[in-house]
Amino acid sequence: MAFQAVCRKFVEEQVTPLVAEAEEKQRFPTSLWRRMGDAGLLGLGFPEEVGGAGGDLLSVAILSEELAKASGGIAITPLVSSYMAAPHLYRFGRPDQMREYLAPVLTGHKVAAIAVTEPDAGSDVAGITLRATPEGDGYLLRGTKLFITNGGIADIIVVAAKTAGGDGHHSITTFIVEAGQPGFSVGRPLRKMGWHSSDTRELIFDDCFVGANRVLGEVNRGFYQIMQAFQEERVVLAAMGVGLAEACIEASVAYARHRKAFGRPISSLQAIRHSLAHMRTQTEAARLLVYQAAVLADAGADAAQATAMAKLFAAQVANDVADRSVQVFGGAGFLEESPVAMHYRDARVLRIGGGTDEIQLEILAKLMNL
Amino acid sequence: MDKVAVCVKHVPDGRMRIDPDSKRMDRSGPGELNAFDLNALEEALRIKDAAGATEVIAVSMGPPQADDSLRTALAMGADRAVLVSDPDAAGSDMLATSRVLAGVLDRERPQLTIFGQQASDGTGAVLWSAVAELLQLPVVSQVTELTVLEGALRVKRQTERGDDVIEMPLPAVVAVTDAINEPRYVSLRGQMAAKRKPLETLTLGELGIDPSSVGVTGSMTTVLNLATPPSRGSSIRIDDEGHAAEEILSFLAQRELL
Repeated sequence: MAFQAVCRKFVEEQVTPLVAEAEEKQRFPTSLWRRMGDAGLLGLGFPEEVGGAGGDLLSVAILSEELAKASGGIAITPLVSSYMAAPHLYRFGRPDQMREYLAPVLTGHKVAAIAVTEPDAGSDVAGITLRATPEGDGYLLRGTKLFITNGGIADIIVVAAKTAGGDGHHSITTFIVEAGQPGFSVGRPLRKMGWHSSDTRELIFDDCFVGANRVLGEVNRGFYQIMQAFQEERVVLAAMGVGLAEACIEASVAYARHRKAFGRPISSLQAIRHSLAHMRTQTEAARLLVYQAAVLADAGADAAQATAMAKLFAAQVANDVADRSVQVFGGAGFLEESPVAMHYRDARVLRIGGGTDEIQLEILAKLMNL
Repeated sequence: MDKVAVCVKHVPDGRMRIDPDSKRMDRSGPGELNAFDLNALEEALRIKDAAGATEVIAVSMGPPQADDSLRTALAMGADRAVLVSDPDAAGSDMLATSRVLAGVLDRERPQLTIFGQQASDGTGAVLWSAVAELLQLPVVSQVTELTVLEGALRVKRQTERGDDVIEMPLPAVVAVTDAINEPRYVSLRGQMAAKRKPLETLTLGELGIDPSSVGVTGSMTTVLNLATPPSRGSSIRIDDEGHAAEEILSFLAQRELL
């Protein structure tokens, strides 16, 4: 059985039945952590020595695609933990940090989050202001983070903070913070347009002490560490866009075959059938860009351009396809109970999270030496 | 115990077709591991995980493409697989099949052999019984719970009146239902590992089985005829134009079914 078939079977049996309730209650179904961990779906791309499940970025992309077909909100939760936060622990953690913090994340025993964004610094990572001031054998963290996915459910949070004055490129350090630590608290869950089953919070650091042994990687090298880990994050988000578009196509095709107008199924009307064919083509093109980015990264080649293109294109395709699918459904698509309304709402954030469309275009323009 | 064998079957995936000439199932299309056998494998793997066994072997008889299903068994965690594939075995009924499986099990001598209750294609649900008879081993079917004891097995058998709790000496044969466990998902690591695990393909000759005792000649059953089920007669289809409920109600009322 191919890996994609295993992911598809897992999602159909274990995820899809939970979507309606999770969206309604705006809560991630916690039982999924261990189930995904047992199935080896939380440690893809990590070697077995650190508790990983083997595989590569392409397998992570395939999983992301299949999860996002069911629900973006459910998908993003484990994807952030294992494939956006955990890579920082793996790439830059010491062996003891990997044992204590990485291994339990890769098996679903613990949840991780990555906290970089602040109220006044998103794409501009170098502009963060949360400060880490040396204190005894460690640092005191002071400031806030915003829009942090898994903020309220994470056990382990990788936090970016300023550790020196001047240019942010050479003054950021990442730290490992544990939930429940003194001086660390989370705000109320933020209500969002989409991704309803994911947890998004403000994180508040009020003189939160972090020992020097919880510095992740090198002091003042955090900016570069964050930039390196962005590549994986972008492939995951792009793959989620492909999965979302695929789900919209499946739902729209089924609906168009069944729904009649002017005495025949609307799938026989040129306006609809051509739109569906367009959706299909766009989605396939996005999928190939995503797979290309993953394959290049897996081969150790420079994937910067491919990743930026995949993220930009797949996010835009997801939005276009979701919009077209609502149009296929007509009035029914405007109802929350339609299978496409959730995807329509979930699509929008894909053009923002993990580097906006504009950031991807800037990366591409720079690579063109403009 | 050192060895648990699981007998598995490669069954057609999705729609089944019967070849009208041979009156046999067309096994040329895509196939998959029989769903009940996933439960059997899971139970064997749990015994091994709990250090109750050192080796799990998947055993099957089928066409060459049945090795797909054996790879799935290996990916789930079985240590090795044995496939008996021989043109002379094609067309075997359950008695003939039981001779082949018993031949493999006689060679392997596992302490415990687990079957899924039935196959999704033939739904025979007697193969385990025939195999146990040929090997002269105790057999219990409809097993929903299994505990390994010292040289013995305690099982719960589901019946229409309640559960029987049975102790049986090892070696033994059991057939499990899908209520016994929830099969694990194949992990990517398992899939990679499966490629390196031994999958042995045997002919009847290599197993020392007389070809005339299996296949069509060795089978005691003959399919005389095949027919599609008779139609249900005239039916009425009601499309919902906003009055479907009333129409169904009046249909039932007219026939005094309400």
